[in-house]
Parts: sequence; structure tokens; C-alpha cells
Amino acid sequence: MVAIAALALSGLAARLVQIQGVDAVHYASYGAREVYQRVALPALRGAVYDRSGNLIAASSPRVDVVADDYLVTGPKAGLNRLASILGLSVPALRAKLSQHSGYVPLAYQVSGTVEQRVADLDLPYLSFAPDVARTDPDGNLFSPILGIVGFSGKGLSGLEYLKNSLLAGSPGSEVVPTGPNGQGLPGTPTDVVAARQGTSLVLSLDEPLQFEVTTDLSRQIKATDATGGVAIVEDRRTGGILAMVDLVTEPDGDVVPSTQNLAVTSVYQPGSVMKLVTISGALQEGLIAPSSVFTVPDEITLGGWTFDDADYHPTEQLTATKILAESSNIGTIEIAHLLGADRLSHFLRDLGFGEPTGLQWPGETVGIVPSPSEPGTWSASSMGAVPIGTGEAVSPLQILDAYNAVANGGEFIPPRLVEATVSANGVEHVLPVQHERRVLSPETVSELLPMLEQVTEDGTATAARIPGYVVAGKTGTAQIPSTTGLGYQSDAWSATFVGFAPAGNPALTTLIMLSHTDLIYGGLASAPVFSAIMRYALRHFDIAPTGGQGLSSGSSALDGP
Amino acid sequence: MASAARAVSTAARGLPAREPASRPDHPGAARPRLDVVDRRLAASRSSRRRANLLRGLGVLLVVGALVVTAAAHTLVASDQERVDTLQAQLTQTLAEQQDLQLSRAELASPVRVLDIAERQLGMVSPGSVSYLSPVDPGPSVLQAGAEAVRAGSGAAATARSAGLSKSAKSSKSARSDDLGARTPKRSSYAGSRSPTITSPAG
Repeated sequence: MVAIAALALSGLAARLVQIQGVDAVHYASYGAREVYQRVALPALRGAVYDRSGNLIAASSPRVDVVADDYLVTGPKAGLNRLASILGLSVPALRAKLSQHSGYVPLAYQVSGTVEQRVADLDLPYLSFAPDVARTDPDGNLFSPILGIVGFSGKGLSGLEYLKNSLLAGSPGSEVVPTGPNGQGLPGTPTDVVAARQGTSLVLSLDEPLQFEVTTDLSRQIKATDATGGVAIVEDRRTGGILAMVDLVTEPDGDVVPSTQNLAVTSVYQPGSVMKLVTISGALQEGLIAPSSVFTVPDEITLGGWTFDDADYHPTEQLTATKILAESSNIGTIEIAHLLGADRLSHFLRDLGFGEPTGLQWPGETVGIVPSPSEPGTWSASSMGAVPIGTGEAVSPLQILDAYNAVANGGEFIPPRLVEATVSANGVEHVLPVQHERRVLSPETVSELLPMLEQVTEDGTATAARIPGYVVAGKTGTAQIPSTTGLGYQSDAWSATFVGFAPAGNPALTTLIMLSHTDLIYGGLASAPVFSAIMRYALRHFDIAPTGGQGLSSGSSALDGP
Repeated sequence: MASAARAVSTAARGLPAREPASRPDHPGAARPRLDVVDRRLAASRSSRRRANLLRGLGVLLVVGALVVTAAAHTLVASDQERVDTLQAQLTQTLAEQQDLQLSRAELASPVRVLDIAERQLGMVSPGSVSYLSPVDPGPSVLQAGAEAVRAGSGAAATARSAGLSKSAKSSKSARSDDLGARTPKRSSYAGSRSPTITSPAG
């Protein structure tokens, strides 16, 4: 008997030695694996500011309320109060707690106040998982540009997608004690790897101007019964986009921001704004002067297609300036023939058409620009259609950038949206202005500027005038192509005005485009919006009036501190 | 009895017994009995005492160390709890700061301001805004007027000097205004042998 007891005790002792000694490490780590779990700590996404430091997108720490429905026993005490706090109906909450999954998210990204109220209920089956919420304080004012962030915290579109690697930061992790069902246990987290907050962005956008542009464009879209519109305001010297608005009309008549940045991702047949390319190219090549006179009939036939001017007129003598100011199709086609297809194509590319803008925007299109070097795209009628803007499709931003090159003395500056980055520790890194390239000589620009001023002085865009400032620009009106086949939609027009001011020393370049407007002409539909926006913008940036003529050499708010 | 035993023991070991010393000042007193001390035994007893002392000290040290360790552990745990609390407060404060920044941005948003102005305060956005532009009258309006009179152009020159020349212009403005009433020519790609392509003049 004693021997058996001794044997049993010896066995127990041996087992004790094995567990506590020989296999101690194994069992300790096994136990730790059961008790401790590594959980992710989400990183705060970098904020987005406008050029004045106004917050236009930011992330804030939140928690998800999670239930372990296996721990819900007996009468579901506190269910009514929990449902009330989380904004759920009691039946819905009851259904969630009957899923038998062990991990039931009840609410995502709740605030600290809600978290505290839920915690005060002291319900043992609830726990909180860290999360981050992304908020745009201005609602959808910047939404086509900012894009959206998914639940995973990753940018899915727009700037949030484009700059995701900068904004996202890097998540951290920590080891915490947990119960058998995953619920958190009291204890200190260990092995903490802190999350690194993402880099913040300072954009060139200006919040007050964005709002003003949105308001003015929205009003005109409603007034002209348009289906949508785009407006862009750019800082002439840096290419910084100060406002970029994309609006669409919903079926119920509400005008709302588009889900896409149409200024960059959509193309349209631009119409007469493209005459800039032909005229500037011919001036640059010395083929014409502003005073050169052309005999302009009412129509001309090329490759079996007849091109004509908007209004009937007998054959008349027009100067190049008049051809641009009155937007004569036939006069422009005559100048294009002097220039030739190859040089026309060259100037198109030089001014940025058919090329990426440089924003590297997700979903950006380079447009459809025929070229004689690509035979499939060029036909006998191209020399009639391309110079007057009916043979190509371009994006609104490409048009704006071409005119901004003229405003900038002939140097093309790629547009930009991000002016600086701010690291998590607050260090600001200003991004340099992108490299300029000369596309037109100063002499060409000095000849071209008065021609573009003439458009607003007594041409097709007198509605674009701004008291106290000289405005240079060009109108464009085009029929909208059919979406089902060849030809055009009936009574469907796009109306564009693009210009800059003060013309002698431009500070701002602006484009307005309305789609399916019932006021057909760019000079009637878009030029007034240009005038309203620029009146506000010129004063907003303290750009001195030029009194109708002369140059403004003073500084402005665009110069910065 | 014990003294006798020791004496026997001493004798047995062959050691000489010492004579008791005379006490001349107390000649009549009995001489005290002296014991022989075994040095090794005494040394052993002393060693035992030291060992006990050391053992006691060791136990004391161990107990003390345990108490100190426990106290230190308590202190560490207490401090860790404080660190955890402060860390939680920091996280909470940072979250509140983020929320306050967002709230501030939302409160300052022109979208909200307009909404309150229109919906709550009954204000109406202006249909159009008239800006007052400074007009450079040149050397002086009177001088310019006099020059105009001299030039014989009267009212027109006065208007120019007052910066009104643009609005006083020309027939082309009327042409542009007329455009709204016209329907531009339409292109006719479909079904035409001699199609016409029209780009309306702005």
C-alpha cells in the first residue's frame, strides 16, 4: 500500500518537474498565446488643409462597439438603453445579438461621448475596438477633389487615393490580455508599437473661393437648366488650383457635387476655345499678324464636309483679331491652312492637349486629339474640324492650362494641387513649383493678348467684363455628340468661357463650362459666371484694379506672407 | 555533580590539578570551586551561536528582500497604473482636440454659415453683387472736362474721363446680346451628303 502511494507520489512529482521545469517554456508560451493577443492600432490619417490652413478633411480616433453574443445570457438587461444610445431599434439590436458569431459589430466609429455612455451600461458582453473616422468639415464642398476613404481607412478615390501612401501613415500594434471569447481583460498592453500618424497635405485650394465658385456655378446651372458644369480657378504664376468645382444636376433638379472630378476625368468637344491654338501657332510662326486681313466667306467645304460660321454673312474682310474676337470658324480654318496640319498638331501637343496634365489624377484622361502622324485619327476634314474645336475632345483642365500658358507669358506650368506636406511632428515641407516650359515666345504673347482682350471688349464675351480690370479670354460653344452613334444630340450644347485677369499682368486664370445649357453660347451662359467669380476672386486676393487699362504691378494675397 | 564529573574527566586526561590560590585578606572564607573549561567545546558553542545568528540574519534578509520586492512590485504596478491612466487621458485629450478642431472647422464652414443664414435667419443670397471700383480721374476731373470742351467732344470725352468709356461702347455689345435670341446652325452629320459642321461663334 505504501509502495503504491510512494509510486503515485513519485509519478506526480515527476510530472510536476516535467511541467514546471522541463516543459515550462512551452507551457508558458502556450498560456500566453491563449491569453494575450496582438491587436492593431489604427494610424490617424493625415489632415488636409486649404492654402490658408482651413481644415478641409481630418481624421479622429473613434471606436467600434462590438458584442460577444455568446456572453449574452438571461434577460437582455440594458438592451433598450443600448439601442437608444447606438441609434438602433430594439428588434434590430436583438437580432444582431442572436447571430451566434461571437463577434458582432454593433456600431462603427462612435465618438468618445457615445463610447462612455455605452461603457457606463457595464454590459459584460460589450467591448470596444479602436477605429478612425474621416470627416470633411465642409460637407461635400470639396468632395469631387478629396474623394472617399473606405472603412479600412484606405483612400478609394480622388486625392485620398492619389496621396494615400502619404496620408495613411503606418498602423501600430500592441499585445493585450483577452478572455476566452476575445473580450478585453484588465491589464497593461505590452509590446506596444505606436501607430505613426500620416502626413498632412496643404493644398492650393482656397475654401472661401471654392464656396463662392460653387454658389455662382450652381446658380447658373439652375438658371440655364444645364445638366452640370465645371469651374476652375488657377493661380497664373504657380499653376496652383485655387478652386475646382464639378457640379451635376440630379433628376429632382438639385445641383450637387459630382462623384468624380470631371475637370480632369471627363472630356468634351470644346468648340471655339481651341481657336487659340491655331491663332497662337500662326503668330508664333510669323505667318500672320493681328492686323493681317483675310477674305472670309460664310462657308467652306473640306473633304466632303461643309463648315460654316454661326451666323450667315456675306464674304467679308476680317483681320486676325476680328476673326478671334468674333470667333469666325471660316477665318480660323483659313489661318489653320496657312499653319499646316503638322504645325497645328505640334502646337496642340505643346499647349498640353492630348497630354497628361501633370496632376497624375486617378482616372485622368488625356483626351482625343487627332494627329496627322496617326493616320487613323486624321482625315481630309480634320483641318476644318480641329482648328475650331469640333474635331477633338479635351478636358476642361487642359483648356485652362493652355490659356494659363498665354497668361504666363508663353511658359506652360503644369497645374498643381498640393503645395506642401506637413509631417506628423509638424515639420512643413513646401513643394517646389513644377518646371515651366516655354511654348510661345514673349513676342507672340504680346500680340495675342490684345486679341484676346478684344473678345471681351467688343467680341463674343462682353459679359465677361469686370469693372476696373481688363479681361482677356475666349468663348467656346459646341454641340454635344450623340452617346448612341454618329452625329450630335439635338439641341444639346456645351458653353465655355476661359480667360484671365488683369490682362496686362494676369493673376488668375479661370474656366467655366456648362453642359446641356439652354443658353447656347459660351458668351451668354458662361461668361457672366466668369465675371461674377473673378470679381469676387480679384478682391478676395487683393489684386489691385487696373482701371480698365495698364498693368498692376502691386503684390496680392496670392504672394503669401 | 557536574563539577565532579568535569574533575574526573580532567584527571582522566592526566592534566595537573591546580592548587587553589591563597586568599590572605579572607583567611577564613571557603575557596570557590573552579571548573575546567573545554576550549573546543566552547569554540563549538560559539560557532553554533554564530551559525544561528547568520541563519537568522539570512532569514531576515530573505524576508526583507521579499518585502522590498513586494513593495517595489506594488510601487511599479501602482506607477504603471498611473502611466496607463495618464496614457488613456492623453489619448482621450488628443481625441478631444481632434474633435474640437473638426467642430471648429465645421462651425466655420461657409456651407453651414449660409445654411443658418438662409434657413434660420431668413436671409437671402444676393442675386448679384455690385462692386465699387476706384476710378482714376486723371489729373483732375475738371481739367479733363476742360480738355474735352477744348477738343470739342463734349459729353463723350467727359464720360471717358470718368471711366465710363467701356459701357458707352459700341454696337458689338448689342450683337452679343442679340445672340441669345438666335438659334445657331446645327451640324448635320447624320443622313446628309453634304454635311455642315458649325461651331457657333461663342
